Amino acid sequence: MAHIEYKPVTAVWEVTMGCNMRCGHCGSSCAGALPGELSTMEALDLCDQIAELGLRWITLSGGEPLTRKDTPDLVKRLSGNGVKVNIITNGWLLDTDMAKRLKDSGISTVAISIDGTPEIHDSVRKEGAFEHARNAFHAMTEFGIETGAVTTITKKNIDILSDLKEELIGMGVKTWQVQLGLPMGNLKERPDWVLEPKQVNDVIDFCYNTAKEGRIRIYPADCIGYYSKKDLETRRISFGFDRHSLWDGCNAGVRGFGILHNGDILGCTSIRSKEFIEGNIRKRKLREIWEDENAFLWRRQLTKEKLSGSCKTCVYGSKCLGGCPNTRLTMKGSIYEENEYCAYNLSLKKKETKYSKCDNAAALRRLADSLIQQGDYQEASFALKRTKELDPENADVYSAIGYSEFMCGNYESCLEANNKALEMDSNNTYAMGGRALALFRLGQKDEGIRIMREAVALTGGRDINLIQDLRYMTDGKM
Amino acid sequence: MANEMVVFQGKSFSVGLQSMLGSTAYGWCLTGLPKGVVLLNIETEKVQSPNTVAPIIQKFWFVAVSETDKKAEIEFTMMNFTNLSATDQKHNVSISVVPSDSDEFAKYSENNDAMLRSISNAAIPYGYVLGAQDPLLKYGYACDVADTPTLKYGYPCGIQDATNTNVKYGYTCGANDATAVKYGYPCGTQDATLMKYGYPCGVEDATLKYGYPCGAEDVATGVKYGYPCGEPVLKYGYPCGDTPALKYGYPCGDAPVLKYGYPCGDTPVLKYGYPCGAQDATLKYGYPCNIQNSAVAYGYNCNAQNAMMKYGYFC
Repeated sequence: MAHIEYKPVTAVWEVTMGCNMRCGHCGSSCAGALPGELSTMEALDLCDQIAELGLRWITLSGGEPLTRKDTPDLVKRLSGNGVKVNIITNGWLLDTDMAKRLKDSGISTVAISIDGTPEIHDSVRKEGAFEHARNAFHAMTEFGIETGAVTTITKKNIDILSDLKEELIGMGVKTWQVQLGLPMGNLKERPDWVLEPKQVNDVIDFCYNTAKEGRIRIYPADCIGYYSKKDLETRRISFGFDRHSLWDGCNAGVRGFGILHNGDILGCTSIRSKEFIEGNIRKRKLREIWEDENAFLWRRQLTKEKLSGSCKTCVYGSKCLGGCPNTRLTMKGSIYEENEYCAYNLSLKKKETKYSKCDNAAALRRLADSLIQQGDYQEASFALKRTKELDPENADVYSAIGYSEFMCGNYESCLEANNKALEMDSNNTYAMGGRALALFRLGQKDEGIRIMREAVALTGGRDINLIQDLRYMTDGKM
Repeated sequence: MANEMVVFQGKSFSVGLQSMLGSTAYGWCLTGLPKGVVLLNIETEKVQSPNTVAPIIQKFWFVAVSETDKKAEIEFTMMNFTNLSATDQKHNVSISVVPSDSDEFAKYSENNDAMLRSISNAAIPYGYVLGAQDPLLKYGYACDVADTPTLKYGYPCGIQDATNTNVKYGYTCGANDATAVKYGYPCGTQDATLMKYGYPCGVEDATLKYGYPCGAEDVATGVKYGYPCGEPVLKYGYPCGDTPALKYGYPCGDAPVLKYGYPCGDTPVLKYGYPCGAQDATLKYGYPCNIQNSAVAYGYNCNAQNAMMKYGYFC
């Protein structure tokens, strides 16, 4: 059966692997164009398929997309089909003539890679690269094309982001996307350039301060996050939202996909090893690949339970699904590993350490109550686990662990804690209710409802919480 | 006597102390404030009483702006305001400040929508000062050792409770009880036609019972106690789902003008509360938000003796 529930809205298309630069951080190690590149006819046909599939916008990248002579033709076909087109370019070839061609072809936006102040940018990319990029900005401005900057952050430039910001503002740049340099391609050979996990907080702080200034709209890429209020506020400001929008998992294979130079279709152009290639448009139509029930399973069937480390027990786990899979893949070797570059993950590590040093069970227990009541379930969980270590015979602690683990979405742990509480007191109706809910969430719905009914009966129908939970279970609201 | 409070840096908390200030010259003064704790406001709250002379609750609002010393204490002194050197007694509250994390994260649980559990569960005890052996505020009402005989659950009780029929559960009763006020609602001779359990009754009683339309529909379970039964979009008067305009059955956005409504959103002063206003914000059948919120359940005492419904509210 077709995956009709997945509606793609965007894609990234690496139209060529050929590039006129040899950037030190290039994730694709691009050099000359690779064999097998789609011909113009094939590429134009793909443009039609992209429109037919209903994409709203697409990003053409590479390599350097403007080294491909027919790129303006692809832009024209896509925009003519109603698909908004964005190009990411290093700007070397983006002179006035090219700017005019892109304008005439209906380009929507252009993003020019800028990785530092002139000296640093040129050292990362190519002598004269910054000057070309500056000229490209001016050319695009002349034609009224919305143009932004894209910066890959590494240890080479993290300390000069403020200077770069001033440089960009001085050039009249209005939008700025920043992304983490991940150890793939050329950057894999330069581990000393790769940021330390804790530096992601510096990036978030910088983005937040920049957004608050309001002089340039800054867009942290999907590999930066997650759920930090500073990050949420940055995005809210830059996107002009009236409320915070929580990260809802990677788009790959769900709301978007990638296309390689040779027509390979995959979830994300950064996750490009063979097992992640879902098909090739030379063999199957794009729609057929997208709607293949066996395609993109690594993402479409990704659940919190498949993750490891802190991500597996994270309160955001089922929503976040570990953040950017490519970050986990490149940093830890698997898309199922924990995301050490997540701001929340970093925070958890600190909290775990904090609570492990506390030896006052009563104080921890009180603190856990406060944390639960304020909705900080994950931190409460840390406090309670430490309380359990200090006071292992306290049934109340196990009940509380059951609750906090349930609210964190960790149903196995919730079940374990409630079972322990019931071992100590088989008439503990609160633990009984917790056990019922855990079983229900773990898929044993009938057994969960049976136990919840038993708990309600034991209280004589006086515990409104148990009654309410039973209603949720039987009404299909859980 | 000392009490212990665990408070969060950056979040307000209050200490309520009973005195006879107003009817006497004696009242509580803040005489010692540790570094890192700031006084925000002082307000007084009347204790419901038919008596001319009644105690008040002096409520001191604080916020911890930074970590305190390990043994930080707030000191209150009972003073005679006409003779400040005449101090009567001291009351110390020790403060443990939980430092805030510099990075804050969005609150989230995949079970939040479905599982809006109240704090009334076995794992989470009631009490204003969480876990303190001698809570400064209990069940949302000020008390202390001295309060115990005269103030219980926020209402004068104790010795008076048993013998003085003028005050029971905070409502006037006694000799006039039968005809004047019962359970806080007018009753008596007018009872049959005017108000019953706080709801209009009498002639309208046939169509309005306990404040809710009933009648034929009632029996047919189409409407019971005023709420459509079995209706997926409305249950017990509360819209299900994420209807933006209605939350908990009351229009959102009407916080300033809504009475007995629930201000939606993150109104810092009052949440799930009742009448708004400077006095109300802290405690009157309402639920103080912030850290205190967590410890004050529904403003009513719930215990084993409680029925599921008391004065119209679940507890």
